[in-house]
Amino acid sequence: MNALYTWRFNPLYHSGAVTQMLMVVLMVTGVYLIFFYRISAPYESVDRITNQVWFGRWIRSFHRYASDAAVVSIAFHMLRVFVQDRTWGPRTLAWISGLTLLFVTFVCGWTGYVMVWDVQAMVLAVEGARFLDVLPIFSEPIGRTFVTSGALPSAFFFLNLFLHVALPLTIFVVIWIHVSRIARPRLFPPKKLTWSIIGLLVGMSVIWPILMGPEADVFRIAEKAPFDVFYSFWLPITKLMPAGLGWLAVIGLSTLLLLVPLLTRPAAVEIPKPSTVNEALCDACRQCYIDCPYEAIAMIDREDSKRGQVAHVHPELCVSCGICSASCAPMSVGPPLQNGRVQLAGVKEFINEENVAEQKVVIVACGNGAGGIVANGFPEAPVLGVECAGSIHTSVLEYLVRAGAQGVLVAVCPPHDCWSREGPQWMSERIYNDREAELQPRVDKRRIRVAYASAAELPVVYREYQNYLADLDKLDAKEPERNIDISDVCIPQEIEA
Amino acid sequence: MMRSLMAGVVALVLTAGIGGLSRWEWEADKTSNAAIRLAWRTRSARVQECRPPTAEELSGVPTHMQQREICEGRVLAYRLRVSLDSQVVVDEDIHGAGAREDRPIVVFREFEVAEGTHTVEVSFEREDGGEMLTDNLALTPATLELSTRLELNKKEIALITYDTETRSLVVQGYGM
Ligand code: HEM
Ligand code: SF4
Ligand code: SF4
Repeated sequence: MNALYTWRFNPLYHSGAVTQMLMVVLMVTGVYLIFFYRISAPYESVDRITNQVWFGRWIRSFHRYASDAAVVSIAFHMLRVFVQDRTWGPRTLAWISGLTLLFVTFVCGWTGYVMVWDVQAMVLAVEGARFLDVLPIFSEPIGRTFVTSGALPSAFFFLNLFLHVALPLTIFVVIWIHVSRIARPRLFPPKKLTWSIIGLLVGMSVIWPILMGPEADVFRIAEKAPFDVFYSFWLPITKLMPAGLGWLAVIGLSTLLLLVPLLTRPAAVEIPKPSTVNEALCDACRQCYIDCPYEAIAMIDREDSKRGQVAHVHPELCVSCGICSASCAPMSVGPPLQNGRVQLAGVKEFINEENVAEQKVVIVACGNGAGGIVANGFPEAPVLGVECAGSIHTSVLEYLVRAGAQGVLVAVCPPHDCWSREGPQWMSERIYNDREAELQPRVDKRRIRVAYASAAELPVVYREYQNYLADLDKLDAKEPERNIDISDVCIPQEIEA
Repeated sequence: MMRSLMAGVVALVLTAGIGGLSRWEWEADKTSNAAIRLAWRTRSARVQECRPPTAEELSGVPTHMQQREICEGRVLAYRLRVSLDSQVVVDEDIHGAGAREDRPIVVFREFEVAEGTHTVEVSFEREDGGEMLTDNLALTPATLELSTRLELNKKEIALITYDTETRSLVVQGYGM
């Protein structure tokens, strides 16, 4: 996908935002359609929209295709967060509310199809009623409603229409809850991607619009008719099951999905510790508070003898991504095993072990992406693995350059692919745009290069590595420095003392 | 250039895939040729049955609070018998809906049959008992019967239902 669309516009990286954007499209097109829908003559009114109303057929098709595309993007979105292990701990709320969104979307689709009252609608209604009828809620089988007389009561279509309008409104409320623990949620994909998706769906609506299926006839057994796989895929399965077994399957699957946050949670000893703040060093610059992608950091009033504020981590919101470690010039915040000081100690060891002074290129790579080289190794150059690119303190890069590496290739996930959401973005801003804690001007920026590659893109890492080697050849070789002490410059002396 | 072309082609194919899957031709009901459906909803008679209290029920109750009879109301059940081509397919009591069985009685059955001619006999008979509480005229008759020959085409459904106007069982849908 990256090879085709580049990481900027890879729709998989924007699946959540694409879904949200499609929900807005559904809302707008739905408002248009509702003006022409009649609960007293559902099939006829949809038929009129399809055949007569100016635009009607296109808008109806666009509404339909957007709802189908939404199911596809939800599926990819869900699969992605699952594969990336973003399902437990502080992300539990997002997972559970996501499942709610999935459920409401399907119910909404069901009511939408029933509205049309064609053969598919009748089969959906009868099958739905068969399921509801085994529950001890209704004293009379509601399935009977659909089969006794030719004309269904408009009360039924009113209720159905009410649900079809009310449920999308709840979807937006749940989306708000869904992203409530996230800083700067991306609710819309990049413009180019948005308009491409809209363009494709509108184009298909015009060229290949949805037409009417045969009208529902309660006195005929359902004949062959067009069904929407995205919303009716379950029919061929449940049709073969007694309603009780169907419920069992639904309850089983839902329980399994609801338990995902518990099932995917690593053993307690393996869960990385949340970030902590060394209050003595914090100078209240607020950068960690700004950078944290999960709004886990607050600025609070100091309680010690000093005045002003201090950063404070809410451990229950922290996903231990380590991004704050790199936000902090004095290295006072970060998960205990990833903060700036620990990184500096680690890089010193790495420099000795890998004899960095002799290396042309050293690679600093993110364990989640970068062609998988942290796990599988990269024969051409030594690799310093990190949890997330966004957690690499610029001092580490400076250290590597000053220790003698001719160049440092920072191989990281493409920005929108980051498991911690904003790591690569902050990292490159710290290197190139002076975002706090910026790479110091004394470091030649040509000695550091960022390469974006997902876990599946080993060839991209190779290509970038080769290009970088060639570019480094154009620079003069530089000598390693001895006795580098970054903390001299980085950490205020009076605090260190 | 090549990349843009490929990107465009893939996007078109995926979009067309969505369009195709959105209108998958499917036959929801392949199994049966035709069907006979019984569906109606009626009110049955509410009766009250009274009996003298037992000695056990009287013990411990002060004399002035002792009742001479204990009465319980209930809704009478109907017995539904259906024969299809001279074979009995249903023979059972249908009680009122709801936990206390006091809601209207609902009949809702469906039989898959091959296309062609079928004889159907239905009888719906109220059980006897108790002292009637509801105005008898407003009720479904104590006995409803229907005996008919149905000629069903492929995919046709004949609906046997209760017609409140004629207060009898009728066939609907079939042949329309
Ligand atoms: C209508 C359907 C949905 C919409 C519109 C939606 C939208 C979003 C958006 C916009 C984000 C924030 C992305 C970002 O800025 O990084 C997000 C995050 C997330 N979504 Fe969804 N989503 C939907 C359904 C689901 C479903 C079905 C699941 C899984 C069951 C799910 C799980 C998650 C998780 C776990 C996150 C948080 C990831 C993290 O914290 O790193 N979502 N969603
Ligand atoms: S590690 Fe730091 S940046 Fe990441 S969630 Fe925790 S507090 Fe926020
Ligand atoms: S980045 Fe460091 S110094 Fe700035 S507020 Fe956070 S902990 Fe304090």
